[in-house]
Amino acid sequence: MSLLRIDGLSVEFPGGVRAAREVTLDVRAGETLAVVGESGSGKSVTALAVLGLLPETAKVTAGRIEFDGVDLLRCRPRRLNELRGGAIAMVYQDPLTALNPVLTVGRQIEEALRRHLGLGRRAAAGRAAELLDLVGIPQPGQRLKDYPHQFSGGMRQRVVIAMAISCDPRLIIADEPTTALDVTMQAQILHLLRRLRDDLGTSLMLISHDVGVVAGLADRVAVMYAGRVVERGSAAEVIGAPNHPYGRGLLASVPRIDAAARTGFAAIPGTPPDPAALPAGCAFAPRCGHVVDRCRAEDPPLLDAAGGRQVACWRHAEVAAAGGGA
Amino acid sequence: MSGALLDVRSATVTYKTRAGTVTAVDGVDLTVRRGEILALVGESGCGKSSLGRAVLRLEPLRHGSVLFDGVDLATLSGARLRQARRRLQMVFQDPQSSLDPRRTVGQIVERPLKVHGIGTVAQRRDKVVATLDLVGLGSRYLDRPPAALSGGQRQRVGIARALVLDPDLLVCDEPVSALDVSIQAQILQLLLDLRDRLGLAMLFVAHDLGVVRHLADRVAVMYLGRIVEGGPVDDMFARPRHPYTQALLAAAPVPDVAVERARSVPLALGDLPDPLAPPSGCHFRTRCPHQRPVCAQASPELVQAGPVEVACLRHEDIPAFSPV
Repeated sequence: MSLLRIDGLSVEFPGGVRAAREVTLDVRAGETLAVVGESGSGKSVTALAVLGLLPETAKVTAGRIEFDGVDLLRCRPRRLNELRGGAIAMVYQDPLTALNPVLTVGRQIEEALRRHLGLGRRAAAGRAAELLDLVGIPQPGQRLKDYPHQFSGGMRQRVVIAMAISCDPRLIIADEPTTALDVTMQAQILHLLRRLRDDLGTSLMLISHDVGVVAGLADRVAVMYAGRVVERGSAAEVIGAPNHPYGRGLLASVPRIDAAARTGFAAIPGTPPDPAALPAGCAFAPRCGHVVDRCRAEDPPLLDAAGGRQVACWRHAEVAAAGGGA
Repeated sequence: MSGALLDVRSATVTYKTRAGTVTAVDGVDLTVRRGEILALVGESGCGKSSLGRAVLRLEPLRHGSVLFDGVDLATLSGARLRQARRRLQMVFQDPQSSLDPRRTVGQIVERPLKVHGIGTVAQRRDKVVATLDLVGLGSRYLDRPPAALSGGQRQRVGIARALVLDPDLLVCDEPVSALDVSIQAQILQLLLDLRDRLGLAMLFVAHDLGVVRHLADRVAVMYLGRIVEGGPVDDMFARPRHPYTQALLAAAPVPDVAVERARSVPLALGDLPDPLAPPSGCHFRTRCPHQRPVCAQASPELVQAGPVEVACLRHEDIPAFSPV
C-alpha cells in the first residue's frame, strides 16, 4: 500500500527550466525510498513539491501528489500545514535552517508537541527531554535550555531529528541529512536514522547524492537525471547492477575505499544538459556510450525490465547484458 | 639525497580567537618527494587546510620550517622568493569564488605569467593556449567568462592557472569536493594524468577517503592538529592501525547494499572536542573505543609499525580492522 504517491509530476521554473519531468514515485508504509541523483537532477524539487514548499517562481505544470488519500497539490493550505510537521516530517541538509536561532531547542520541540499533539506545557517538556535522549543527546533535561548555536553540527542534526519524530510522523522526508557533516558524525547520524526508522516503523523518503549513504538505508531506489526518474527498483537491483547507462556511470564514478588496489577514476564524459534547453530524445544520450539513433529522437518512458525494475532506456536489455563496469 | 621536494619540519600554526589561542597545526613533520602525491586527510578542524596553506606561506608558521628543494623559504626574499614561489602553486576548493568573474578565462590563466613578468604578449598567449589544452579546455574558452562554464570546467581553469608557471608542486585544497561525483572523477583523472605527464608532486588536502584511496601514493591522517598515522596508501587502507584511521574507514559509506547492511555501530564516539582545550595526552582518546588511563598522560609520538608510522601508545594492542 502506498503511503505517498507522486504521479507524473512536472515542475517548471521561469525561462523554461524543466526541473522535474513526469516524476512518478511511491513510498510504501514502513519502507525507505531513496531518490538519488546529482545537482540539478530534480530530486530536491520533487521533495519540496511534496511538502508544498516550492519557491514561488516554480510552477507545477502536471501531476498529482497523494499522501494517505489526501491530494497535496489541491488540498487547503490549512490541511497541508497540519500534515507538515505532523504526519509528514522533514530533516534538512543544514540543521541551522530548520531551527530558530533565538528560541531554545526545548521551546521549539515543545511548540510542535503542543500544536500537533495538543500536549500541555508540562507533558510537552517531559516528552521533549525523552526525545533528546532517544536521539542520543547527553543530559537531555539540561540541553533543552540551550540555543541551537550551543550545539555542534552533529548534535544539531540530532535535535532536528528529535523534532522530526516528535509528532509520530508516518513519513519522514530527509533531504541530504548528512551532507553537511564529517564522515564519523555522518556514520552516527545514519546509524540513528536506521535505528529510529526500524523502531518506529516510519516510512522514509531519503534524498541523496551519495550512493553509499543510499545503499545503507534504502529498500527501494529511484535514480534521477535531468529532471526524470531514469531507473527504479529494489536497492539491491538498482545499486547492485544498474540497467540504465547513467546509473551505471554514476556507480562507477564513486571511488570505493574497499577496492583492493588503485584503479584510477571512471568519469562520465561531458556535463549534464541545461534544463532550459534539453536535447530532443533521451537527456543522457549526449554522454551515453550505448547511444543509437532512436535515443536522439525519442525520449524513452520507464520500461519494465529484469527483476521488477523499471528503466527509461531503449537499450536497457543490452546495457544489462553488457555487465562489467559497475 | 632523500629526494624530498618538500620537507616540512615541526610546523606549528596557531590562530588567536576571542576565546583563546587555537593550535591548528601542532608540530607536524611531513615530506613530499618529486612526482609523488601525498594526501593529507582528516575531518573539519583537523588542521589539514592550515598546513597546506602554511606550505605556501599563506599562513605564518609559529614554529618549524618549510624546506622546498632543500631551501628554507623563510630565508628567501625579493627575486629569489618569487623564483621559488613559481615552483609551488595552489588549486583551491571552490572554483566559483577563486576565479575573478570580471575576467575571461584567458586573462585568468595569463595573470600569473604577467605577475612574474614572463614572456611577451604573444609568448604568453601561446603558453595560455597550451596550458588550456593540457587541462582539456581548448583555445575556444579563451574569451569566455567563468560564469559561462560548468563547475568542472571552472576547476580546469583553476588547475590551468596553477600549471601555467610550470610548478614542481601543487597544493590542492579539496579541489573536487564542490563537484558532483561524475564530474569529480574527470578532474581526479586529469590530476593523475598531469602527474604522469609532467612529473608533478602534489600535496592533496582531502576529507574523502575514496578519493584518497585511488589518487595518493602516500597518506597522512590528521586529527586535531597532529598526524596520527602515515604511510603508503595500499598499506594504510589494507590495515589501518590507529583507532582514528580505523574509525574513518569504518564510517566511509560504500555503494554496496550488502556491505552497508552488514555495518556495525560507528567506531568513533561522540563529538570533536573543543579545539581551544584539546584533551591531554592523545587528542583522540575521548572518542577512542580503546582508550586507557595511560592515553591521558603522554602524547604519543609517531613510531614505525611495519610499513606505516602510527601515533598511538597502544597500537600493538589495537585489534586489526580491515575495510576490504
